Amino acid sequence: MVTEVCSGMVLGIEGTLVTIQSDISDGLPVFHMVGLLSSEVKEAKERVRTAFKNTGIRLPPKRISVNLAPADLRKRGTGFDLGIAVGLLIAMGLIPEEEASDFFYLGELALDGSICKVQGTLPILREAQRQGYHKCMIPEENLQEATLLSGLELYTFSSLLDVYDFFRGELARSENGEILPFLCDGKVKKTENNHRSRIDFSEIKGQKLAKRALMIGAAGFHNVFLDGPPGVGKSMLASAVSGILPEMTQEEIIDATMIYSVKGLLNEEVQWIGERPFRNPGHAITKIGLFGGGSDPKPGEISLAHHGVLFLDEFSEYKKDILEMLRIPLEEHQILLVRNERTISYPADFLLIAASNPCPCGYYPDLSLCHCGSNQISHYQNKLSGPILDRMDLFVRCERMDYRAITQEKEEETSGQIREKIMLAWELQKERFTGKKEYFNGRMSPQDINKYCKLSSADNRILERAFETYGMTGRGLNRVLKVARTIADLDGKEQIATEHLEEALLYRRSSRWER
Amino acid sequence: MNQHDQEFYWYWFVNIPSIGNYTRVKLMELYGHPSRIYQCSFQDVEGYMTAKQWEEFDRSRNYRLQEEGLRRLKDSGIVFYHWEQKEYPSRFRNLYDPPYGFYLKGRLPDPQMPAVGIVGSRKASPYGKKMAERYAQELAEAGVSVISGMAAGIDTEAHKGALSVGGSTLGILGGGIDTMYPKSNWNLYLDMYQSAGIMSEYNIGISNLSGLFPMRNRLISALSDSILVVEAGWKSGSLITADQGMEQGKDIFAIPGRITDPMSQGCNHLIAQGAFITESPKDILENLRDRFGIWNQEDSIDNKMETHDWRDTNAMGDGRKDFDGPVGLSSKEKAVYDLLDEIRPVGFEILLQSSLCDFQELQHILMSLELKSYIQQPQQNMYVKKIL
Repeated sequence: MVTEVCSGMVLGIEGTLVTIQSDISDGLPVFHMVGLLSSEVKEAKERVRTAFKNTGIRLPPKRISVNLAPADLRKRGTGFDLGIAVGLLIAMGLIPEEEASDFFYLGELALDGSICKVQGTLPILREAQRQGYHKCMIPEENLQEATLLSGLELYTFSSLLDVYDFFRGELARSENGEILPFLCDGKVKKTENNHRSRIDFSEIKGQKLAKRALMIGAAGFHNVFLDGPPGVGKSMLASAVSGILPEMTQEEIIDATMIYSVKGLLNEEVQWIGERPFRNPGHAITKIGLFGGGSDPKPGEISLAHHGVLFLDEFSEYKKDILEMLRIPLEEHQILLVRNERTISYPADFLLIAASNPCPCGYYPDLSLCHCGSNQISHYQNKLSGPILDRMDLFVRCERMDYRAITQEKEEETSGQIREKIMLAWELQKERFTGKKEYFNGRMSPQDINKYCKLSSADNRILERAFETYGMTGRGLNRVLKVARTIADLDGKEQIATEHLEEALLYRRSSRWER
Repeated sequence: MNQHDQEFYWYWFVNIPSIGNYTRVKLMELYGHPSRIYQCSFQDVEGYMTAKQWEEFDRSRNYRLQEEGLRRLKDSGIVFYHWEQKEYPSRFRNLYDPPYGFYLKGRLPDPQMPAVGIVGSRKASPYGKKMAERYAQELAEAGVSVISGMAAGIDTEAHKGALSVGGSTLGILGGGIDTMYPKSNWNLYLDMYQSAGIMSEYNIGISNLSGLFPMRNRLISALSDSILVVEAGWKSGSLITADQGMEQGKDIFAIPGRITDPMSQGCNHLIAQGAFITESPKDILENLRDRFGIWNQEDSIDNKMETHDWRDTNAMGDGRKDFDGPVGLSSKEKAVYDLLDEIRPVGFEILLQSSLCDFQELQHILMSLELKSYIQQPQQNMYVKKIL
């Protein structure tokens, strides 16, 4: 008799379903598994057999065949063990088929029969739900991330023996003798599992200009470039930005959690991603580490920053090819990888904050501290190519603050207050770009810029004069207009006013970078 | 000996790869002419070079090799000058270790006219650059040749200044005649080839080694009657030029700076040691006139002073008056302008603290000052006064 149960695996960032077919027939005793299996799936055979033995269930001395369909898809991951075991239990006639084949199975078996967590539970279950499965049997440790999906009945058991007893009606755990599934309500999870102590904007003293630029960047999804000597708080400022972005929607939480689930970064402390991610990979990172990939493809840092902030400190120190490749996700908001003749896309929609020192020692143009040669400085600054700098809208200098500014007890705006303002700006943009794919000022097309960034004739004259005095380019002009639009939105104004335009000009790339 | 043979022997002599300038001087003292050195055997020169050097020496005595080199120079439009030519600058002949030959693209400045070497830091402040340009312009307009080293910073501005008024200038390279260093000066190189001259002691293909720069500096000072140090740090190579100039008996001028400015320490030190202090190009021109008389009636200094009197609006010049800065500023604009410096850039954040303006006011003031070209941003969100 052939039995079928359903399990799944991760393909890229999405789940895909795999049918486990089992058959027990006469012949020499052998346990045989087919279906384009990678090593960890092949080894399921040993895990299942030993788990059976240690659970007290005897496998019959017959020819056991297990096929994982579709046969042309390379099977990876350790989530099939539970499905294989249940399939065999059905094939051996130990549990009723009608009941057991309703379930979707995911879980790895240990040799003693206990069920262990698997990576990528959320995307797999999401796909299972889409395909019509409601009852899911998953490892206990993966329960929290799975509860992000609404309308699923989740069953968790600690061991294979419990599963066996459950189907035989012999498991008495709840008081009335009935086993109740965990029902997902799919409500937005609040961030009680705050895994990072965030820096609040009010904790950063001074740096008004940089703070303001970051606020504008967050309000319109403009990428920000921070320039300044070492130790002035560029990293601190950047890390505070994820705290001023509006809270994530349920959809965004699922999106982000899926990536972390696939990457295997969820654990007891971090069970889902309820806060905007902040990723700071450091310049020693490899291409695969940043963009994702590998023979068993996993998402990289840019995808982990999805819906959040990617901070690249010491921007000029990154390898040239990495910087050039960064242009793709900045344009497409995803990254495509081709592996084993399949194209995998990892989402990567993030706010980029880059920081760099102006020279190797960091203190230029303060000539009393800077000891770099002139060619060293220009070499350092020329490491950043024009195209990558063209994708940054806001350029701002962080200054060394004096003692008085650092220590004074002045009320500074908190992250919460700033977030309120940004949320209003987001609302305005959503209204403006209704029906469009992108709803941020930072991503306006040239047509949109013409349509939404109208200037009064007096302001046009200012811009014209600035264009000539500063020697700006057409693209630089568009950047200024986009930023001015966001500043006006933050102000709640429909029309871009003079002060908005002037402020936008403050953040334009100054001559050094414009060259 | 015909001209071609002369050229050949001298070209060979300065291109012997294994021996240095010192050995060349010694050999010349001994034999008097490269054609005689060409005939030497190892025994003749044994005291001056090792066996290994002799090997290279011997190998370089290859007629076709040297002819090929000369032809390559002609193809590139480079002229080879040697000791025996009458066009060879007489100022080099007095040097303790003169170049027996050098390469030139473009033309040499008129030897009848006075020349001033303008040197300074490669990492100059905006103020220093402006001063270099101003001095070069005014000197060149008065008919003085501007000699400098084609390096970044002060040198570049000096050449540009001289070129901008159509004056005569010469760039002396520290590497081979075909090197461009820094590369960003490409346009300047082209302009210099066309309307001025570039000279080097080194043949095509010799790369820029910083060890060669002091050698280059001795040529700058040799060709100049006076040397102007615009901005120099404590260990600047410009001080070497000044030292060499002093040894060669040239007048050294230095533009003074504040004692706390790292880029002025070298200049101030020179002044303390007895260099002339210069407040305007006029000082240098007057000094030259005292030494050489009026060299060009049309471009007489007095005449120049009238047409080109930027110093009078400044704190310098004859009709000294206090400099109030740009006119027509509002009191707030003036307050912000006064917080700025001509050399050290001041950041937006600092201005926000030290001025009494709020964010929006300050951004407005800075932009209007910048659009009026009273200030500029050498670095993102950092401001300096423009020199008016």
